[in-house]
Amino acid sequence: MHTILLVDDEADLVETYLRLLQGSGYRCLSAYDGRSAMALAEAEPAALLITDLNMPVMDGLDLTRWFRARWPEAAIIAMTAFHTPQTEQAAYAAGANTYLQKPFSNAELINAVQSFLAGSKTLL
Amino acid sequence: MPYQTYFEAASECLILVDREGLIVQSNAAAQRLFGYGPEELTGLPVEVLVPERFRSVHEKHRTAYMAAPRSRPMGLGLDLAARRKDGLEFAVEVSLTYAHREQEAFVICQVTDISERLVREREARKNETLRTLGSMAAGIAHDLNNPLAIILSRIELILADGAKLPDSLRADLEVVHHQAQRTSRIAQDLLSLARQRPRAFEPTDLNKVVEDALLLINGDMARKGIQVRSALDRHLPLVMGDPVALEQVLMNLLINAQEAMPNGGLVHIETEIHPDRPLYVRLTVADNGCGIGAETLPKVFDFFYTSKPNGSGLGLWLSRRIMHEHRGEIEVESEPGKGATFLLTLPVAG
Repeated sequence: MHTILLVDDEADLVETYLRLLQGSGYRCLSAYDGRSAMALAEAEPAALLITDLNMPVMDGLDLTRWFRARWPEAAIIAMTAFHTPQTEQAAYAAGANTYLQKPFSNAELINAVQSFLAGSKTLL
Repeated sequence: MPYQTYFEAASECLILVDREGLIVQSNAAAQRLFGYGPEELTGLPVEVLVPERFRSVHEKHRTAYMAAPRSRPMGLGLDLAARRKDGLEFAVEVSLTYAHREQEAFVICQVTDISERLVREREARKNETLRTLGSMAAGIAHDLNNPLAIILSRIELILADGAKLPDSLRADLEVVHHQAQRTSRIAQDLLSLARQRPRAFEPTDLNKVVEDALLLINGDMARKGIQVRSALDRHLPLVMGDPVALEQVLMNLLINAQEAMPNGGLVHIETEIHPDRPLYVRLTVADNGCGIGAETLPKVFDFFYTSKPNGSGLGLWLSRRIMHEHRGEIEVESEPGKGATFLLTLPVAG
């Protein structure tokens, strides 16, 4: 069973996307900053990381780099409310597979997740 | 006589005035600046060089100055208005040098036309204000994205559970969702405004700009039942412009035209040498959509003015700003129900 690790410092956003992803049949773990996300990932490796880029303690770019180095085969979706062409470039350079600009629709997120985790849904 | 030669030949505008305020002598540069012939100024009160409304004040200042004369250098922040013989007013800076000659006291006035400098300074201040506003707007727009992401996503989650919702609540949520999306579009418009890059001017083929814009939008136009007809002058001279910025202007106009014709229609695009101004080219974008009312028409280029339910009020404002940066113009003609015609004028390169 594949796990999604969802990381964002906006608690309401984490709760919203947890409901969306779990409601779509995915197993999810969540954290509010990069460092807590590292600890969670070490305890239970995730097949997909969905991370915000601007976060306290450890930001999403550092988390993306660490995650990519640690699990080269895993997928990473980077998302940000602070899009600039430079941010997008930096996200891909850090190892993200795709990049979403907030706000995006639930369908966009689910489509992106499905493209990485095809066939890995669990029935909860 | 060396002094006389210097006075006459100086590139600075020099005027010699006596204690009574009468002009004793003026050099060629002064005559050119103020539009007078040789000797024409001699004997006239110096106030002829001042706009009428300031003359009595000037006289008082002059009398006070003569009571306690001293040299006053340039750059004291005194922006004064001067008046040419033909009545045209312009901004000047004046320095005064007090001098004696054969028992008589004189004031040598050096006058510098600073109107161009003031225009440049005003432009620089305006650009600085716009840059500050731009980065403020970008900060606000970015900060809106997280709450908007949460609002939109939550509403979509609730709507996805549709079976349990009463119809009226579903309809309300759809309105809230639509308005949140609209807020998001306004935030994106603000961001694109703040991200305006420095212009890269180069000799530009306006026809190519039109063709590139049409490539981007033609499919969408066709889907919406809008026919696009273009008449491009193949001998059109190049303009000095930033093709990306000009395409942005054209796209703004084409999207507006599209929105003015929800049930389809016709857009006509034409390039030509300006019929009245041979050193300019003209680009016309005309539609046969809903048109613009007489009350709205004078405001369409205003900052944050919009008559569209989903507009941000930035598109036409930015378009006009881009045209002005190109030393061009954008004008609109319209009548309700008879469509709108936007006329863009640009100077020919070189």
